Amino acid sequence: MTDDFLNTIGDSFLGEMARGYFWMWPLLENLHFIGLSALMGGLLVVDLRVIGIGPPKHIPMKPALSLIPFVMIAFAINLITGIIFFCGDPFRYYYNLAFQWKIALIVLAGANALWFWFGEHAKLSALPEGADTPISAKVIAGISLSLWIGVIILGRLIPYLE
Amino acid sequence: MMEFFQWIEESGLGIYIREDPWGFAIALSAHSVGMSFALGVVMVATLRALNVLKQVPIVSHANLYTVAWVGFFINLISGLALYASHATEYSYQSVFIMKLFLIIVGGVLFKKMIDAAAADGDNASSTKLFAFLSLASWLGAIVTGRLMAYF
Repeated sequence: MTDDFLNTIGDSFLGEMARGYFWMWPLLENLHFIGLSALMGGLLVVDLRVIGIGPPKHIPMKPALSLIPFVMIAFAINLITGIIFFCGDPFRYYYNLAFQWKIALIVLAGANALWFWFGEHAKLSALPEGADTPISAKVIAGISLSLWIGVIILGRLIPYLE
Repeated sequence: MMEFFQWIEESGLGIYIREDPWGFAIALSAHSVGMSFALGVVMVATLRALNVLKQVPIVSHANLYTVAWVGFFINLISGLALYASHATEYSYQSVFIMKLFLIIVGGVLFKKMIDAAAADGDNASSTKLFAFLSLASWLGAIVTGRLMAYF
């Protein structure tokens, strides 16, 4: 059942495309690496500002929060390239322990981001300049950075946990 | 020269990273986290200077540079460990030599961008030029680093 599904994905247009050109895989890898750097760059500004530690605490809140769409674009680049990787070699990824944990952490990070967006974003935007951020927002931002660092590490470990 | 590279490769660090089942994987993981810190800050700062990210005041990025340095030192240390494990191979690998060159050029141009922003202003054409060239060099460093697995 699962294997039929994986076979279908592997034989799909995206799967054929990922394997069809010798330069396609390294091109996608490079985009994935650039995307992850952009994602982390934007997140560092947003999350360290919200936590209020390190040098980014001096950045005003609204400009810092305005980097969220940039983070979303970076995530979209990596979601698309990631889906193509998966289609190109579905059995390898599906049964890979590092990949499974990586996806679990991305889902958690997504839920955490929704919690931030619906629970904290309005409060933070309305915060007077110089005021301390609520503890709940700091916790969410700390979880966010930890999860994404975990995602990067697990992604890098995929070839080593086969 | 080759004897020197062999000596590095046979050092305790070189042997550990190469032969321990987790040595190379741990160093690579640290290297990708450090990359995301350093390159992330470089991207946000240079894209701001190029007016792609308009909202953030450029002076604020001075506050982020220490985060980029943290990433850089993680990668200097993990990079030296990775290099030690395959010194005889990497020393003659053209994409690796290009990568080192691009890191130095990207770093110098990034400093030039900061200096130009301070001297000529955030919107000066000199600031934008250095931002563009620095970003291009750093993206080139990512690409050549990734291509070490292929060439």
